[in-house]
Amino acid sequence: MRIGCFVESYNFKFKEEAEALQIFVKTAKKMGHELELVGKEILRKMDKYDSIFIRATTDPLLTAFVVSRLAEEMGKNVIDDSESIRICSDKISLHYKFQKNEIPTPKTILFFGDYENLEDYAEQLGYPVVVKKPNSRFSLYVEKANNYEELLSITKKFMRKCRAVLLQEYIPTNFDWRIGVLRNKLLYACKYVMAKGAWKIHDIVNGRRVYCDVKAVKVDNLSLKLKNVALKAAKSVGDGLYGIDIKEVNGKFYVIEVNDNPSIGHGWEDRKNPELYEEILIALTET
Amino acid sequence: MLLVGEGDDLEPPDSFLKKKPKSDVLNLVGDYRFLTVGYFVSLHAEENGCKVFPQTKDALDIYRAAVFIERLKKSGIKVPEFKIIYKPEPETCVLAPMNPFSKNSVKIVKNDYQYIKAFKKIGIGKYPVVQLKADKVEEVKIFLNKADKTEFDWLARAIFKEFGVPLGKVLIADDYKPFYFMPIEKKEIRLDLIFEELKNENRLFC
Ligand SMILES: Nc1ncnc2c1ncn2[C@@H]1O[C@H](COP(=O)(O)OP(=O)(O)O)[C@@H](O)[C@H]1O
Ligand SMILES: [Mg+2]
Repeated sequence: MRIGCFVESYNFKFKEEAEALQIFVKTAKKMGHELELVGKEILRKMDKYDSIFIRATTDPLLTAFVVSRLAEEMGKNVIDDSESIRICSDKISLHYKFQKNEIPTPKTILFFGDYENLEDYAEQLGYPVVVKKPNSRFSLYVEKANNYEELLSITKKFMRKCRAVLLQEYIPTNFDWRIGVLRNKLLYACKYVMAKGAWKIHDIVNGRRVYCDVKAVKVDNLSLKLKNVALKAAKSVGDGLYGIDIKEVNGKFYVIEVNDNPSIGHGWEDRKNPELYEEILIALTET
Repeated sequence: MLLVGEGDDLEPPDSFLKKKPKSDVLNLVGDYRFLTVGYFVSLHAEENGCKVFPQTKDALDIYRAAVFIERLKKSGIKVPEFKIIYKPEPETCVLAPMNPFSKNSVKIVKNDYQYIKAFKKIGIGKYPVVQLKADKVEEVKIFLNKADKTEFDWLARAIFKEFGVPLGKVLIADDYKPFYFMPIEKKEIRLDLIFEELKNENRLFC
């Protein structure tokens, strides 16, 4: 089968990610398939492929969404599917899914601009309050308010271009679990360990951008409870490829978010479960 | 059927978002683009298990030119031939954005200079653009199953049937071929037309 893999130049910024893409190409060949890395021109030659694998940033406002939708309209097997993109690109959508499916999360309140209630919401959550813009990614629009003044200013800033934000109880941990799930099965696991002084996996400490450390853990070695939380969270969104962010405090798990299009870097996410490449290719080529 | 939007006899979006809706919802906000109030109204209805017009996934599709055209074509509507362009291919043509950002809008271009300028502006230097042939472009406003120009009522009906989107503006190329959909402004919404149509509700929403 022929797989078109949609990439953009930034997919090659980290050598780990660029190497992972090459492993996809090689593994596909070994399996008797062909995976081609293609840029925007993929929109012109979708016919050529039996299935589409999206590695470029997915968001309903970006090109990747159109790639996904047009592939779906043509009846192709697509990862990420457009519904997963829609839900995961909007933390408000995700929150509804989590609630409906009783996924354990930090205490969360949706804020649609009713400022008369803001102080009351903050009291329910306790300071610091974590404020999130619905379309945040790479921790870009996730901030912490230590008091009402900060809360007001962050909320106003986020709401300038958007009609809703998420307010959340602050749950500090040294690392986030990142659990890879594909077609309702566990795929890989790691710890995203915060950099020194950071509270988010991508953060700015003393004016410097810092990234988390990735420590892979074999899926088999995860606790049953963690596995179940991750699978349940994934299922609340769909049956695609996801990276679930989970915090663990005293044996309790809190789902932070489900990411579609989770990053895959060679030596990082694939370290303890290198079969993930083959698993993804199987999902892309099954009929 | 609960009507949500701005105006007499409508439930305002802000109060709607704070309630747990139980009935079917007709979202008359007029702009349903991702993460706008109109989008959140549909999302809120949907996630509370209510039938809603439009559904969020259709609200995403309709504003993306290539997806809009493909879906109309599948539903049997005549649409113009189009190309998705990521590198300039200058000709006399119409260029339409495929990304929903900024104030980019559809442009008719007549020469290479206009083409290059419009291509850059509409694609903001990084997004693909939809390119098609047309001598003129006409704008039609739709209100549920009616259009502001009665000769286009069929199109309003087709769009409501395919996308469940009750309000918007459609751009039409030669020979009655629709190719682009945009949000309608608050002041352009004809609630009187909507209310009249709602008298035939049973036929509308089946
Ligand atoms: N409620 C919270 N308490 C503590 N830290 C949080 C909380 N929510 C998010 N974070 C931290 O901020 C990071 C970014 O938050 P997240 O919701 O994943 O947004 P994004 O989509 O931008 O990655 C997370 O990886 C986590 O480390
Ligand atoms: Mg995250």
